[in-house]
Amino acid sequence: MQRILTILFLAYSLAATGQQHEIKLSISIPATSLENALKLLEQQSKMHISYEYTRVQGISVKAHTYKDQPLETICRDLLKGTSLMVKQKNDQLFIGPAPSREHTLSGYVEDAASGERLIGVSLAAPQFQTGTVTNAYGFYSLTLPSDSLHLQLSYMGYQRLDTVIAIGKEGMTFQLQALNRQLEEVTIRGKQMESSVSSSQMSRINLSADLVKSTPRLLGEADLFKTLQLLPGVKQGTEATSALLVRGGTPDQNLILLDGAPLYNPMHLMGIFSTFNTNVLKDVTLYKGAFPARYGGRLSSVIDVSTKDGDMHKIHGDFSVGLLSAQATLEGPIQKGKTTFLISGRRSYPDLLAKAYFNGDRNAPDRLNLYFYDINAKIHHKFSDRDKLYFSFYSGRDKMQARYKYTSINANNDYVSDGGVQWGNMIGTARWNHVYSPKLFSNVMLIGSDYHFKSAFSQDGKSNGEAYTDLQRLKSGIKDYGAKADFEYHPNPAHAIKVGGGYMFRIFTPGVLRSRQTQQDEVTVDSVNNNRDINASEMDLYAEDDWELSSRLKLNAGLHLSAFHVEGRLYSSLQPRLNLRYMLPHDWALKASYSRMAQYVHLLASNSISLPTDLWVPVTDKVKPQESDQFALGIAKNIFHDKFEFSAETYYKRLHHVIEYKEGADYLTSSRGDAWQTLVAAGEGEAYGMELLLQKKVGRLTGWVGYTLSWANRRIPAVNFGREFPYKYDRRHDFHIVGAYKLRKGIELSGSWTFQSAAPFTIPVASYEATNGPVSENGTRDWVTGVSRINGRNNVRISAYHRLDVGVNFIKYKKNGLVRTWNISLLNVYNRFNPFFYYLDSYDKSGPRAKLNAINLIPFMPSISYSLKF
Amino acid sequence: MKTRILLFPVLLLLFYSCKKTITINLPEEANKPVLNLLMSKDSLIIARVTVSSRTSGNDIFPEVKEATLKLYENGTFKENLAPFLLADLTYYKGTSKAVAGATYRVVASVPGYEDVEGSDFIPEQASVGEMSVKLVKDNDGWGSKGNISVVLHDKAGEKNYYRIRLYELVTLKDAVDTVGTTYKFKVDFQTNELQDGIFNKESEWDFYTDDALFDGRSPRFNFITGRGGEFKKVIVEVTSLTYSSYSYLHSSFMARLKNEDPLSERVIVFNNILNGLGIVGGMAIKEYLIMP
Repeated sequence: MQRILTILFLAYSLAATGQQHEIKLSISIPATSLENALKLLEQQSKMHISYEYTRVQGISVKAHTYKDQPLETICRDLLKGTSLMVKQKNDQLFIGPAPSREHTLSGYVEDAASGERLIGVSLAAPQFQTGTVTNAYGFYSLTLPSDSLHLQLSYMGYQRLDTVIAIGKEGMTFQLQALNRQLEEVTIRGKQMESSVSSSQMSRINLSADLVKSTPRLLGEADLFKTLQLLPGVKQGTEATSALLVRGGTPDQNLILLDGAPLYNPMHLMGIFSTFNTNVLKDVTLYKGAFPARYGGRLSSVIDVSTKDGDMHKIHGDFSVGLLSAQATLEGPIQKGKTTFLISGRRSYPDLLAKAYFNGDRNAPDRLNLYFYDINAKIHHKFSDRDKLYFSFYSGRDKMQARYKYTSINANNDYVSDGGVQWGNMIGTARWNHVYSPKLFSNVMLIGSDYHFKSAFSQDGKSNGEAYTDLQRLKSGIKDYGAKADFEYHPNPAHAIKVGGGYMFRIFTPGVLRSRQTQQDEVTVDSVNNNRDINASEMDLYAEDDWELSSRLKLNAGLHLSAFHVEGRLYSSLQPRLNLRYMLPHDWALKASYSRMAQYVHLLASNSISLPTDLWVPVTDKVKPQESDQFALGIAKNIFHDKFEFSAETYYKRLHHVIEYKEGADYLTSSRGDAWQTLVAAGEGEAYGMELLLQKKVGRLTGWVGYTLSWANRRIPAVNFGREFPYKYDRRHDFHIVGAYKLRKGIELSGSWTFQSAAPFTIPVASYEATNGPVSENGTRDWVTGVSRINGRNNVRISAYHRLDVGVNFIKYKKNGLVRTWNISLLNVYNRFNPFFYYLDSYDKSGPRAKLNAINLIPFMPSISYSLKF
Repeated sequence: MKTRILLFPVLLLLFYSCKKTITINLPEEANKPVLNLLMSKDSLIIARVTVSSRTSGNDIFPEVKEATLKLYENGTFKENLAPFLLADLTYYKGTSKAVAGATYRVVASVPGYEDVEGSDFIPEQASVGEMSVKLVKDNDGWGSKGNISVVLHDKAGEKNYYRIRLYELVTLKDAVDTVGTTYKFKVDFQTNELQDGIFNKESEWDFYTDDALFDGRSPRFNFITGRGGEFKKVIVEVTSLTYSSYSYLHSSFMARLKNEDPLSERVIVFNNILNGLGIVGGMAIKEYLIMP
C-alpha cells in the first residue's frame, strides 16, 4: 500500500512540475546579504519568493553572475552552505529549512565535581517529544533528524540542565551539578531519573546510597538490605536479619550483582548485616519482576549494585566509627582526568570488646578472633571518550576463632585446642566499555567470584605424657569464573536494542572434610571424605528491544536463552520477557509484564536464618532446575506537580521445582557426595498479591509509603503430607512508612514505621501414643515417647510485627571543607516485642492453649556513629 | 576487671529484656482415635487403640477398651482381633502370623467415632552380607568401643527401606547367680562418617536409610558405639521396612531429635490412618549374632 502511494505521489509531482513555467534570468548579484539577493531576484523575475525573515537573517552571499539560468537554479546556488532549501510550487518559490539528515548525539553524563558516571539520567528532547536515559555505565545515545538540539537533562539530587547543542561527530559528555546538601541551597527542580510513568519497565525500584545512609541504623551501621526490606514486595524473614524474600521467593532466588559479578552470601554475622559498605555504593536497582532479558539465573529478584568509580578530579574520603565497626574510604585521581582509584575498608570489633570483657579471667581464651571485614577497591582508567577500563575488587570475611591452653600440674596432660570457622566472598571484575560508534556501545567483562566456608579444629598436646595431635578440617563453597559481553544499539529514539551473552564456569565444593590424628608421631588416622569438586558451565544469550511504538504505547520485548551443563547433562531454557506501557488519559500509565526465569543452582539451607554452612549445589538428574512464570499488571502516575510518584501493581507468580527438605531431613555440609538429593523434595509454589507505593523523591521531605497484600504457598510431595501449606514468610499485610526530612541546615531527621501481619509458625497441637516396633506375643514392646501431633506445616500465626525507628544526623560543614556527621539512631522506639524465634514452654491442661517463650533481638536500642568527610 | 563489671549488668539487662512468655490458642486435636499396628513377618498381629490428648508431658494416653478390630488379608476378612489385658494395657491380638507379601488391612470400630482403618503389606527379609565387630581403644572408663560393620545386599529396581539397631548380650553373674544371666542391652551408636565427629553428632539408637544412593548395590555401614564395653556378643537387628512403616518410624525418630530445636523446622510424623491417627505398617525383622 505504501509503495502504491509513493508511486502515485511521484507521478503527481512530475505532472505538476511539467505544468510549471520555467523562468530564466541573466543577473549579476553583488556580495550582499541573502535577503537583498532574494529581493533582487524578485524584482527581476517578477516572481514572489516566500521565506521567513528570521531564517535568512545574518546570512551573506558572495558576488555571483548568472547567464540565462532558471530562477530556481540561481536560488539553489545562493543557498549552498546554508541550512535552507528552495522549492517551487505553481508560480511561487518557497525558501525554508532543508530537511536535516539524522544525527546521533552520544556520550556520557557525569557528576561535575567528581567525574562519577551517573546511571539512569533522563535526557529529554522536547521538540521531538522523545528522549533516552543513561545506561548502567552512564552512556547515552540519541539519534534525531536535526543538527542542533534542545536537551533537558534531569537526575534526582542534581540540578536540571537545559541546553541547546549542535550535534557534532564527537561524543558529548554532560556534567551535572549536585544539589548541595545544605538546606538553603536545596531546590525542588531536580526531577527523578527516568520516570516510572514513561518507562515500560515495571516492578523496578531504584535506591540511592544517600537514601540508604539516611535511614535509622542498627548499632550505627547503615545497611542496604535493611533498607530494601522496607519496600513493598520485599519481606525480611526473621526479625533483625537482612534476608530478602521477594514476592514469595526464597533468599537463594535473589541474583545479587556487585559491579556485575554474582555475590553468593551477602551476609555478615549470621545474617544480621549485609556485606555492602554503604560508603562505596553508587546505585542500587531492585527488580522484583518484569525482568529485562539481560538478566537471568534466579527466579525472584535481581539486585544490581554499582559501586563508585572514584573522584576524577581531587582526592577525598571519609572515615566513620559506630558501635559495631569502623570504616575508612579514600578516592581520587591517580592521573587527573584519566585514572581514578577508590579503596575502602570496614572492620567490626566485637572481639576487642570481648577481650576487654574477659580481661584477667583465667578461663578466657588464649586467643580470640571474632569479627568481619570488607574491602572494596576500584581502579578506573579513561583511555579516551570511547574506551574506559575498570577493575573492581571486593573481599569480605567473617572469622570466629578461639584458642585455649590447658596446663596440668605435672605437665603430663597439657594441650592447646584451636577451633574456628571463617567464611567470605571474594569478587573481582575487569570491565571494558567501548563506544564503536555514537549508536553502538559495548561492555565486556571478565568476572571472578568465590564464596567459601572453612572450619578447623585442632588439638595438640600430651595425654599421660604421650604426645598426640588431632585435626579436623572442612571446606565448602562455590567459585565462578566467566566472561560476558553486552552491546547496546540505539538506531533511533524509538529503539534501544540490547544483545549479549555470557559464559560462567562454576566449581561447586560440596564439603570436603579431612581428619588427621597422630599418637607419638605415628599417624593413626588420615582420611578425607570422597567429596570432590563438581564443575559446571552456564551459558546465556539475550536480546531485547525497548521500542516506542507510539507516544502512548511502548514495549520492552526480549528473549533470554540459558543452558547449564553439569556432569554430562545439559539443561536449557528459553525465557520470553515482555513489558508493556500504554498511556491512558490524564497521564496514567497502564503497565503489564510477563517474564519466565530459570535457576540452575539450589541453596541447601534448613534454617530461617542465613548460616555460612548453607550449601550451593547444582541441579541433578533428580533435582531439576527451578523455573518461574510471573505476570504483573499495574498503573503509575506522577501526582501533585510531579512531586509524588504513585504506582500500584498486582502480580501472580508460579514457581516450579522449588525444593524443601523432606520431613525431618537436614543436611550437614560435609555429608557424602550427592546424598543431599535424597533429602529434598521438589514441588510447586505460588505467590500473588498487590503492591502500592507512593514515593516522594525530591524536596526537604523524601521517602515513601508502601503497602503489600500478598499470599505465598507451597505444595510439595513429602512435605506436609503433600498438602498445600503457607510458605514460612507468608505475611498477609505489610505496611511501611519511610521518611527523611531536612529540618534545617545541618539537621536531618529520618524515621520508618513497619507493620507486618503475623508470620506462620509450626507448633504441635496435641500428642498421641507412639510405637517403635511390633508388640511381642507376651505384650512387651519398645517404649517410646508420644508423637507430637502437628496438623499442618505453619499451622498457627502468633503475633503481628511492628516497629518504629528514628534517627537524626547532625551535620557540620566546616570552613576547611570537612563535613562532620553525628548519627543517633533509636531502634524500636516504643519497645515492641517482636520475637526472633519461639520455643515451647508448656501446654495448658484446661484448654487447647500453649505457652511459648519468645526471644527478641531488638528491644529499644539506641546507637551512635560518627563520620568525617574530607 | 572494672570494664567487665561495667559490661556485665548491661549484658544481663539486655538478656532479660529479650524474653517473654506468650499464650496462644490452638485448634482442638485431642480425643482423636489412634490405631497403632506394626506387623512383622512371621509374628502375630497385635494392635493398640488409644485416643490423642492435649500435650501434658505425660506419655500415658487414654486407651479404648471396647473397640472392635477386623483384620483383612489381601482384601478378604480373616478374623477379629481379640482384646486382651496385660500389665493394665489393652491389646488386640490375632491368631495367625503375618506372611511376607500379604497385605493386611485393619478396620477399628471405636464407639463414638467413625471407623478408623489402615493397611500395609509385609516386606521380604533384608539380605545381608559380611558383618563384624572390632574393638576400638577408648578412654571413657567403660572399656573399648565397638566398631560394627554391616553389609547390606540391596535388591535392584525396587525401593527398599531399612532400619538397623544394635544390642550387646551381657552375662552378669553374682554370688547367688554363679551361672549368670544374659541380658540384651540396647546400644547407642553413631555412623563413622567424619562429619558425625566434627559436628559432635550425638549417638542414636536407630539408623534409617533408603536405597536411593545404592539401589542394587551392597553398601557397607560402619557404626561406632556410643559407650565402651566388652562387646563379646553383639546382635545386629536389620529390619526391612515398607514405605509406610519407614516414613512413620523415621519421621517420629526425626521428630524426637529435632522438635525441641527452636530454629529447626518441626517434623510432621507420617500417618496412614483413615479417620484417625497412627500407623498400620509392615516390616521384617531379623537379628544376627556377631562376635569379635
